[in-house]
Amino acid sequence: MSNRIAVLLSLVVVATTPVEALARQPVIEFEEVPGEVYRVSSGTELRVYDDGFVEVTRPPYMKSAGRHTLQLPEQELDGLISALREADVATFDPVAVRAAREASSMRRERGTTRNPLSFSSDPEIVRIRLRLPADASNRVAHSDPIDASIQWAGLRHDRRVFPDVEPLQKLGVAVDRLRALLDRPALGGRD
Amino acid sequence: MRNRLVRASLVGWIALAMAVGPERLAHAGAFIFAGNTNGIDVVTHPVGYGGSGGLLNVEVCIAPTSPYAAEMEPALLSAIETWNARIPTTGNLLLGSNNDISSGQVDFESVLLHEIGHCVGLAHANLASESGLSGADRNYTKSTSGADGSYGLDSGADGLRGSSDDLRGDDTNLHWFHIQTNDPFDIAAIVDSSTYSRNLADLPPGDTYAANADRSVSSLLGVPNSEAVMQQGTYSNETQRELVPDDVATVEYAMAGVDEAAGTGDDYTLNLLYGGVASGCGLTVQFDNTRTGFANCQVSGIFIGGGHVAITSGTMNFNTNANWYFTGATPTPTPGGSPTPTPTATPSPTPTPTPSPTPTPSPTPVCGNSSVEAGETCDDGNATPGDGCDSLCQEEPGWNCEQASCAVSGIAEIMDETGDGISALDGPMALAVDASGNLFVAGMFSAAVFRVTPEGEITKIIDSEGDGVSSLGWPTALVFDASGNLFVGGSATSNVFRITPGGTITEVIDASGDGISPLDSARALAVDASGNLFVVGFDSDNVFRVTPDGTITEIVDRFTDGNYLLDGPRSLVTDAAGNVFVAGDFSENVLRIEPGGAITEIINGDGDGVSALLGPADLAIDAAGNVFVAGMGTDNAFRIAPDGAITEIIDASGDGVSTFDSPWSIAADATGHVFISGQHSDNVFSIAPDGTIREILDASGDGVSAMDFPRAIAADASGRVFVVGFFSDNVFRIDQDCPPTSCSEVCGDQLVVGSESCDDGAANGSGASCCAADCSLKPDGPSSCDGNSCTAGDTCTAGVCSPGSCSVGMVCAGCGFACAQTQGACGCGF
Repeated sequence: MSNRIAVLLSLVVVATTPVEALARQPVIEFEEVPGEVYRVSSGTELRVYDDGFVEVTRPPYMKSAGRHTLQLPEQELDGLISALREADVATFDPVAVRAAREASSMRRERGTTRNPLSFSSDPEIVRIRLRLPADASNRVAHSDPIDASIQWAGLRHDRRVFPDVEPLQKLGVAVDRLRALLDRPALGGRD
Repeated sequence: MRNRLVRASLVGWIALAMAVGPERLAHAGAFIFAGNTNGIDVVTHPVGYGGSGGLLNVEVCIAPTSPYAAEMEPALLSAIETWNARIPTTGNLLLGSNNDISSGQVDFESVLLHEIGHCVGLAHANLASESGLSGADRNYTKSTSGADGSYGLDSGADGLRGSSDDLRGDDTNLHWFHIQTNDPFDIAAIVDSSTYSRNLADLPPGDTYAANADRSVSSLLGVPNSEAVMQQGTYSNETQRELVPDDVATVEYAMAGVDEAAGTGDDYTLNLLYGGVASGCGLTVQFDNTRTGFANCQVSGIFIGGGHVAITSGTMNFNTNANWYFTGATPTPTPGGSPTPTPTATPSPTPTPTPSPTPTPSPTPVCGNSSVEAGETCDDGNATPGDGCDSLCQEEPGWNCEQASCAVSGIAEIMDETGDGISALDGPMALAVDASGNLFVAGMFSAAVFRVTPEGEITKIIDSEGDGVSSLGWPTALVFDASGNLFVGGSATSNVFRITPGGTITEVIDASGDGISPLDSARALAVDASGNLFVVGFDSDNVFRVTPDGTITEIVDRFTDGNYLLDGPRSLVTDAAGNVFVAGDFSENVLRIEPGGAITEIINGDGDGVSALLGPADLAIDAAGNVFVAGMGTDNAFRIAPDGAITEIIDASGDGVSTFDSPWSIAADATGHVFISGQHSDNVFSIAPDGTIREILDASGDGVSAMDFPRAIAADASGRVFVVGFFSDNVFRIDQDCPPTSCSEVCGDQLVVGSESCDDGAANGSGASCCAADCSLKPDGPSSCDGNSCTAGDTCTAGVCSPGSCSVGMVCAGCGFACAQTQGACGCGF
């Protein structure tokens, strides 16, 4: 029997997990893996905890490789989580987004007998995991507990080529916000 | 048979032609755009190919606005040479101590070689990251996922992914292979459809799938340390700077042309050309973190007939945060280090009598503030994509964005004859602005240079004492280098001082010139991207280069090879490619001196052939590489485009209201506006990119203090213009309001954007298209929309062309060939 796996240009897993099990886990995880260096397997990783503690781990092929940390003020943590909520990270449906992307292509190509083509090589993979507990004592609590993961390949390209696909634009905004944390001058504590 | 397989050595590659048997046959890789959407048999060609044979030149530029422009150049030149030579090599994978880079570094040239491959039409040979698969499963050979939508991933008996015994279920192979062998590390004598196929039914007996040139497969086949450049997946601390047979065969398959037969009239020879640091090339290389997290190639393409696509433009993007190793750089021993700019020599200790300039990083551009700032190509007042100017203030494909003229919002005198209150300002003659917005003013007769901060604080930073050993007389030239060093040229003392950000003053050249040719009257200065300083001797009729390590060389003088060349050099500029431009006031010309020393006269007294150029007094250069020259004797100015085209941009009539007399200084800002002073007409004009001329300052100055005899002009990144009054001994700042960038759709560029419903390019409105001339859809009905004159019964329906039928053997009026039925449509000449 051949070894078959699903074609997953993007993947979503939504599940509910007991809040207790999430207590010491990061509330936000973000990773970006460049396509061309996939053999190395890991990309730049960001973890944000419910007390605002931030860990950034950069792989050896990036400048300032290693682990860095940052303490976010409560207000900024709240803003970050709000931004991810507004970006509908928890409800991002890759199947629907792929369909919207295809529809956008069709609209664009309608009427053209010689369709213009667009290509971007070596797409990067971005992964976001958002865990928001329901525990009211937790300051990042959400009325409905959320444990959602997103993976998308080639977001930079898709965001530029498909400005009319709103979920991609929203995801792009969320990723921009997370990437901004990676560039914070205050990141310190390189291990 | 041809012997052309080469094995790389540890220090590069040694051209060892290997006897490869009576007939060495190979298979090729895959092409971008091939797949379920566009067709599995798609072959993609480089920019400029339209079906005609011959030499196909493709220019590759480094974007003028890109970081690391100078660092990229050696790698780009090498990669271009590699793709042009197309030497099939094995042993091209150099790991660890076998290469010249350090642990943790990624080789820029290797990745660039890979991305150029994409940008000339080649796809990954493996499934790669676009498959969505993880880890080693990406090593399987390029394919679709088949009718079941899932990749079949069985590595067969050898357990190696990407080898010839893989079992891939219904996955459609996209990898072109030789019909007799399945070894990606050989190369065929002839590469075309007679020897290659994409159809698995043509595989050699016993093989089940097309093998790719992965490093693990290379070991299996007895050619270790070999891997296709187009195989996605690299590690740090490895280099791949040579092509393997698989890479060469793929590009050669495309070069067989649209008939996919070698030796016919539509064959082409790909020839990449380095276009320098410039805009407008078919392919561009740049560092742009908004476009990639590491590296990619982004291209547009269009079908040119049958299953053939031609790329219309391409950009290779790199991210500055990766730990790149640039070819020619010194290895850095510490992982996580970063490329460093070319070091500058440390001068010997000298007196430091005055406070120092304190440059700081350039301000970050703000997209959406209606101001086109460094790194932006547009700013329409918002950060919303889809309106022509995207969320990062980059012009979107399919749009044309233009910057309208700015309006003066205020004029202020920011310095007068009192100088800093202690030392006077007398005869201001030169200006420079640093990255922090500080203005530097040279007073010729007062022999002093002052810094004026944005808050208005004035400080003298050098005076006639010079460095305490050599004196400074008549400072008439100022220029900054990328490290924040300010250079001050003394006309009367014929020398140049460097003032470091720390305040150290050092004389870098004096009247002795290079020890052979003297320097007389250091009237103008320029610095190139490598930190070389260029100094003109106005009275010695020559130009010197002073390298960062202090080496002085005369690069041009009055006579070269007995020819009268340069007389009275008054101004200098450099471009991003390292060319130096010098204006000869009395020889009435502008010379371009290339880094290799070649000298070309780009304009002379004939001007543009209609209006003359006399007394070229000053030069400026914009981000696009246009050189501007002011004609003091003819009361005009010219723009000389990178392609050599000359255009007069202003004459004595000024803006039609105020006249223009005796220009002395000219400057260009980041938005493409040019500013020029008329010293006898006591005014300054702005010339917008669209040619609109406006007078922005006249003799009345700011309404309180008059301006008399404007000479030096400088423009900063914020749209402010500074002008000196040479006889009024003062400096004015002109503030401007610039409207947002205006973007409009381009109908006819084959890109459907905004309100357009279609765009068939030049075919819009013709009988060959269902798209009207205004990019709206033609009404449904009969048409000849497939553009093929041998068919009948075509129809347009909702903008989509349904080709009619043709009879095999019918003669095509358009090409003279007989029609053939190709994939359900009528092809011409296939």
